[in-house]
Order: sequence, then structure tokens, then C-alpha cells
Amino acid sequence: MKVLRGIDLTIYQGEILALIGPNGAGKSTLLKTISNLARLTAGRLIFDGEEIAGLGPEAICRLGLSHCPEGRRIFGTLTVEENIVAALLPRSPEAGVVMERSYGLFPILAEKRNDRASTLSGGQQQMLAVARALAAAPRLLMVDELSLGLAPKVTHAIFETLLQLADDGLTIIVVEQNVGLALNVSDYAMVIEGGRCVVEGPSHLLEAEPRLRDLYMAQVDD
Amino acid sequence: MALVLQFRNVSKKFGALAAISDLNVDFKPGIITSVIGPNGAGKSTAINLAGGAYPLSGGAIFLDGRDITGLPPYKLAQSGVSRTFQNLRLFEDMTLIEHIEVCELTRTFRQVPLEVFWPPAARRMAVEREKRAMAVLDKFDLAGIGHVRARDLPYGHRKLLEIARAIAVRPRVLFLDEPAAGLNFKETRALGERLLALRSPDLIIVLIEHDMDMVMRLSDEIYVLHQGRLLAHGTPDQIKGNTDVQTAYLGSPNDHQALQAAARTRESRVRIRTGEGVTWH
Amino acid sequence: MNQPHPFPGFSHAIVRWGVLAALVGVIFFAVPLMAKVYELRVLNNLLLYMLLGAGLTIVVGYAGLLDLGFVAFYAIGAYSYAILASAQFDFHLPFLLVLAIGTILAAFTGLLLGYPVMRLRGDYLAIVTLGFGEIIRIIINNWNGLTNGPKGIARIDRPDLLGWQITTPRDLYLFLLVVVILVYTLVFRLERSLLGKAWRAMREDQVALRASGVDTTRLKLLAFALSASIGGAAGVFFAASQRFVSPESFVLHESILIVVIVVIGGVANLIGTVIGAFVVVIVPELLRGYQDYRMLLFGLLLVLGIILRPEGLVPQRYGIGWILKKTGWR
Repeated sequence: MKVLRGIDLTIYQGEILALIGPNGAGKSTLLKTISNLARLTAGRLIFDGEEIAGLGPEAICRLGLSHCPEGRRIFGTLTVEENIVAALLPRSPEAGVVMERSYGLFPILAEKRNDRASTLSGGQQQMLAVARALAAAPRLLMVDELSLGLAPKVTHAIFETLLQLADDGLTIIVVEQNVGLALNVSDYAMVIEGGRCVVEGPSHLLEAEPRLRDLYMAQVDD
Repeated sequence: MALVLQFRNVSKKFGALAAISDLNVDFKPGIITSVIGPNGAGKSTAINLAGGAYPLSGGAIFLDGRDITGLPPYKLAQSGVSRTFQNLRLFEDMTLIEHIEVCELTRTFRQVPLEVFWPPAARRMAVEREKRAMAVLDKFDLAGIGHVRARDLPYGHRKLLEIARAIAVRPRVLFLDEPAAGLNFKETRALGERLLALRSPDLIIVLIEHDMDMVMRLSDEIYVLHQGRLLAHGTPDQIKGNTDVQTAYLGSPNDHQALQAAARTRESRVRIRTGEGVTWH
Repeated sequence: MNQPHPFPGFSHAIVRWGVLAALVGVIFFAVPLMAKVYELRVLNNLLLYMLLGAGLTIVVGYAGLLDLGFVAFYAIGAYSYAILASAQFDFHLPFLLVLAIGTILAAFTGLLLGYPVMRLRGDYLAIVTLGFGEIIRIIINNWNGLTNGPKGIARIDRPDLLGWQITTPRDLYLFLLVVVILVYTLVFRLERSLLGKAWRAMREDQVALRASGVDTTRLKLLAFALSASIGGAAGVFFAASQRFVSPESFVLHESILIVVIVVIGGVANLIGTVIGAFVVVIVPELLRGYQDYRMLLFGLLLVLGIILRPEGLVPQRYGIGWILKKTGWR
């Protein structure tokens, strides 16, 4: 079955790209294809001038592409801290620095650093998954279903952090159901339907597209 | 006495962690009651306690005045406490119809020998069972794809199937654990309409959800949990205006604008894609 | 189904019944007429293993509980007949009565095993059932007064079916064939029943099934008991056909062979079980010419089979139901 057809996409350093579109459209598959968790049938993937299609998922990760997958996929029998340590790569800063940053971002994780990850609530597991993806010190961060199960306040906090990280040069791709929020925060967005890119463009311009508003957006300010 | 589900001084400890402490809430039929709160506030734990997933550390739960504390999950389901799961738990290899059918097993257990030994009866039973399953699926517009296996369903339909299965046990209490998570705006709105249609004087509907647009539109009553305790209780308007709830959970209305402003001022937005417009393919 | 029939003309009732009649004719009349005594013995062995496979399919295939001690129920059935219908204590109870006793006793033992292991799953369950199989064998081996210990029980009565004395391997073949057809029909109907669907659901997600009001403990116990009862019945047939039983017939190796039958053909699929029994019984016979290397080759073939067909030789969707549908019976 063809899940993606003819996607052309360029993303620049320091940019935040939002992927939006209905469920089953191929957004997650696009991320999986980039990190080679799903095989590329045809086409090329170039990261920083280097062809990465065909590299193993772990090699891609070591190059600095970090994927925070759908469904959290945390290591349930490890503690919170061990989950983060497990993701450290040679390129990562020292463990202490990573911990400090993770716990600064998600204070609740600091409280639970020695608890088994499986005892965290759904939303806390999502925070841990993001923290773990960041621990690999990525150059490109991909987050699938960022706000899934997160309290509104936490979602805002994560997006705030992503903005800061992007300002420091991190490139970010997010899949997000809250289209209003995603367009607010991202620089560029792509709407995927049935495996095709239906429309793309700078986010602030897409926000104003009436056809998109009807399809995906709640009244932004209520 | 009207149907009611009561938590009385309910507590749950996991080791040293108090997930829920001394919780007292009443869930009433005919309306939609939402339970909201920060991640880890104890919302799912409350459902799990009512659903018998693990024992209470203290207190009791009453359904219609009857103490249902400590009953095993299948007995709770039989006495009318039904639920959906935050991480979908479907029978992946089975069709939608089969999902609904297996909920009948307890009611029709005695007919199994007849079904195995007497083919004509088996055929008749299968036809009738399928008809009943279709009727349930039809409430969620899933009847047309009744013979599709769960693993082949798109995500939105999977979420609906969870609810359909929870309805199939003819519940008196329906707990919905983040039914809109992962759904987009349109799907969420459609789901909301269906939930409103489910309201009935003999059904208690409890919604746990982070989508505030949905919660505020659907709920008649909202309980806010924070660190395992009841932080606030009231109508959607009362909750929106409650400053405690804003600090703990919602964030102030200004947060969103601040975020938007921060994004607007980013240099990269101007720097990189100058001159690019919207492209329809 | 509206799509064109894969075999035009085959859907005609006459052709279907004709093919069925031809099959029945060959299996019931031609095979026993043409086969030599030795070949019939092999075929009888095959039929017994097909029965065991059907029994284990319920607990391993349908309910998804790995039982490595299945041979214990086989032993209980076999010793029921050996003790109650032989010169050992000079009991000579009728075959059908002992068949009922052996079946019920095995089912009861199945419940006895099932109850304490309800909470175990996967590897732990496999280890406990494995131990259970060994315990039963060791009891049989050491309870000299009842079972005659390692020497076994000989001079077991010939089975007598309401006047039909089963004496030759050919009689036994016909009898076992009827039993196998009956058992497979019932087990298939069980698979198709609501109970069968509930077992599948349990295999997929126990927690969700419990939350739908189904008592999974009862489902598991039922699977253990039904499965054990078929094992027990097979044991009675085994004792009646060999007319000699000893603990050596009920070692762990046997349990593993039966699991192989269930798994290699395709788990939770009766067609797969039939094919599995063929592989386990017939292939070693075909390899007889290779003497010392026979078991090595057989083992290699099994490993190869699992590597090449990880879902089993016949994937689950191509079961009896699929054949019935494709040939127009349903």
C-alpha cells in the first residue's frame, strides 16, 4: 500500500515545521521514513548535504536526527532518569547537564526521577518521551503528536521550549492535532491528506487561508 | 433514589505516592460530567479504581447506594460500570462486529453448548447476534464497516469502536478516558455530537479530556483534580474563571498570546522563507 | 461474495458432493484396503497425534496459553484404561465407560492445573505446566501399587464398541478416523462459536475483555478443561490400541512434539494442526533410510520451517472456514 506519494520537502536549520492533516494521512509515516523506521520505497533523503536514506535508524539518530515516536514508547521498567540516560549519545552534553535541562523543562520528572517510567501518568510519559528525544542532543527533532494527553499548560510550556531551542539553531518537525496552536508556533507548515501534500506554505499565511480554517481549526481565541 | 455513582473518601497510594487522597465526588445521570486536571492529577487512577483495575487504599465507591468497592473488573462491568482506555485496547485481529459480540458472552454463556452441538441453532444465534451488534455499531455510523478488522481501521474509527464496545455492555456508568486525544478538530466536534446524543436519564457519563474546547462545550459539571485532591467543582463558566484552576492547569489566557507573540518575533520566520507563499498542490 | 468463483463449475452442489464422496471413499475404503499393516500403524499413530493436536490447539492456539505439560492428560487417559480394563486388577470395564471416565478425569485434572496457574502468563506458565507434566510422569513411574511402575501395564483389553471388537489395525484406523472427524468438527464449531471469539479476544487483550464484563478466569479454566479432556480421550485410544502402557510414552519429548504439531502448521488453525501432525509423524518415517541422522535432519527441517514460515506452514486466515467459503459450502 502506498502511504506517501511524491512528498517534496525542504526544511532549514532553526525552522519549526508543522505537519497537519487528518488521521491516517501519512504524517507519522513521513517521520518514520525520515528516521528509517519505515522503508523508503522511492526518493531521496538528504540531511546536511548527506544522503541518509538506507542508513539504519541508530545511525540516523547518531547523525543528530531524533524521533519522539507516536505512542510514547518509553522504557517502562526503567526509571525516569534511566530512560533519559539511555538516550545519551557521544554528541550529547554531560549527563548532569542533560538532566538539569530535562528537569528544568519538566519539573514533575525531577520529582519522579527514581520512579519506574511505567508508573507515570499518560501525560507525564509524553513529557519523558520528549525529554528523552532531547537528550540525544539532536540537530533535527521530530515529535509525533506533541500535545497528546498533555494539559494545556504543559503543551504551552513545551512549545515555548521548542521556540527557544529553534532560536538556538535546532530544527524541529512536529505533528500536531491542535492546528491553531501548531500554525501559531511553527514557521512553515504542510497539510498532508491521503499521503500527498495538499498545501504548504509559511504558517502565518496558512493561518489566514479560509479553506484551512474551516477544515481544521477551532476558534483560536475562545 | 436516582442513579448515582459516589466516591466516598477514596484514596489510592502507589508506594509512597498518594495518587488520590480523600476524594469525594458524585456523578449524576443525564448529564456529562468532566474530570480535568494536570497530568498525573489522578484522573485515570480514579477511572481505574472505579473499574476495579486495582484495589483502593481507603474509602469506598457506591453505585446506586450499593457498595461496589473491590469487585473484580468483569463483575463491575456486569453491574454497569463501563470504560474506554486512554491507549486504545482493541482486539486487533477481530472485526468490529466481533468486538461487540464478545460483550454478550456473559449473558449468553449457557447457550454455548447448543451453539457448538446444534448447527441450525448456531446459525440462528449468529444471525441474531450480528443484528444486535450492528445496531450498536450503527449508533456510531460504524455498521457499514462491521466486517473490517480493527487493525485496518483509521485512528478516528478506532476511537469510536472503543466507545461502541463500552456501550455494548449496556452500561449505567460510562467512563471515557481522553476520547478526543489524537483526533483533529473536525473529528473532535463530531465525537462531541455523538457524546451529547448518548445522554440519557439512566446513564452517567464521565469524560476525562485535555481538549478544553470540547470539555467546556459538552460538560454540565466539571470536577478539577490536582495532586490527587479535588481542587474545584462547578459549571464550565465557573471553572474557566477560577484562578486556582488557571494556575494549576489551564494556564492564564495571556499564556497563549505570549506564546504567539514570541513566535511572531522569531527572526527565522522572516529570514529564511522570504518571498514564499502558499502553494496548493 | 460477489466476486467470480475461483473454480467455475465447482460451485455446483453436485460437483461439491461428488468431490466429498470421492474423498470419503478414498480415505475410508481405499486406504485401509491398500495399506499394509505397518503403514496402517503409522496412520493410526498419525490420527492419535491429530487428536492430541486438536486438544492442544484449544489451550495454546485459541486461548493463547502455552502448555508444555499436555502429555500429562494423555497419560491420565491412557492409565485410566490400562488400570480399569486389564488384568492388572482384573477390572474389565467396558471401553466406552472408561472412555468417559478417562475424559472426565483428565478434564478435572486440567481444572486442577488451571486453577493455580491462572495468574501466570507466557514463560512462567510454560515452566509450571512443564513441571506439572513431569510430576504426573514421576508419580506414574513410582506408584508401583497402582501403575506397576516403570515396567508398565501389559495385557490391556481389546476395545469393544457395543459388540464390535476392534482387533486389527484396520478396524482401529476406521474407528480413529471417525473419532478424528467428529472431534475436529466439534473443535472447529467451538472456534466459530461466541466462546471461540471470546478466546481470541482474550489472546488479544485480557484487560479490555474483562472490562467488557467477561470473566477471563472462567475462559481459561474452560480452555484447560476442554483441551485436557481431548488429551485424556486420546490417551484412552492410545492404551486401547497399544495394549501396553509405560511411563516412557509420556516424557517431556512428547509434550514438545505436540506443541510442535500445533505451532509448525500455524497456530489456532485446525488445518495447520493436521499438517503439523503429518510433519511430525510422517516426515521421520520418510527419513528412516538415513538412520542415525534421521532426528538431526528432522530437527533441521523444523528450524528451517520456522525461519521460512514464521506464521506456521498455513497462516491463520487459511483455516477450515476459508476452505469452506472458497469451495462454496458456506
